[in-house]
Amino acid sequence: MKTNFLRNKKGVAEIIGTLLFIIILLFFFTNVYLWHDSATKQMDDLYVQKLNSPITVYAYQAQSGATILNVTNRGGVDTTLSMVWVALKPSNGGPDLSHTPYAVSGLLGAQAVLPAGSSEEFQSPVQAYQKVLFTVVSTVGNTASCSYTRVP
Amino acid sequence: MKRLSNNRKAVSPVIASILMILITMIGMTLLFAFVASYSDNYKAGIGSSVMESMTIEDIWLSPNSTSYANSVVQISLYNTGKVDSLINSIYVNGSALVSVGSASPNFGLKIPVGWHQQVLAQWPQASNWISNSSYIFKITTQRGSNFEANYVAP
Repeated sequence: MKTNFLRNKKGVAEIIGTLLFIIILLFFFTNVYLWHDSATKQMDDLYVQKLNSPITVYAYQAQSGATILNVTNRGGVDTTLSMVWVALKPSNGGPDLSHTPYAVSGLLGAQAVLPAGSSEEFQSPVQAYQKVLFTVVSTVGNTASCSYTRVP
Repeated sequence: MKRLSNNRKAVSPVIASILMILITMIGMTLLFAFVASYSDNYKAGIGSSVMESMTIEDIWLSPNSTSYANSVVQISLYNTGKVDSLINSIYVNGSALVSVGSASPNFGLKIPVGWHQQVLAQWPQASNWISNSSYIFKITTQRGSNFEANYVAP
């Protein structure tokens, strides 16, 4: 039985053909798999960077009377600040009076990079005597907000 | 020598081999073209949705208005992903907003990587924002990614 089976050469070409076909298909689709794997790794790196660079912000009034913003990188990797949004709040409720974006690079110069665990201070672009909501955004998408009312 | 050129035996196996090679080459070319096209479409389309990341950095209800007399909202988006994104639609608490001026729920707004973009949208029907109400904003891209932000009207 075994000898007959080994001697029987019928169907060998079909098996080899199928194997070749599978190998060729695998070769073609490996391209897609490798690209997807690389894309997922890139985004994983971005999410890890985002998780490891949370920021906080608070505002205070300096002796000169100017409003100063203090931004701290609470994470373990450096982060780059992108934008500060300043929302002017009305005194009697209702819609905000204005929402204005300011590029942090314009406020901090070339020092928009915040090393891990460090703080950076810069003067608020708006010096209003009303309630203001500051929102700082980093380039990886982390945000931090603080509410502040300047004392006359 | 003359005998060789006159000998017609085995001509058909040679032609058959050439034909087989030709057919195989055509088949492989077609298969390769299909796979190349499929992988390119996949990479440009739904496959690259894993590389999309959007931050809703600011929401301003009834911009430049002293009361919630209109249903307009200004949403500021920041593309923090690795590919350009195309904003298809914006939802608030499950209802689709329309683009101001065009009344179309399909925004078709492209945001390149690293860009900040402001979008003006409004309710399709007469409905205004309400103070202290919570709104869930959902941004949908052409590749099918969703980005949400919760906002309480001041």
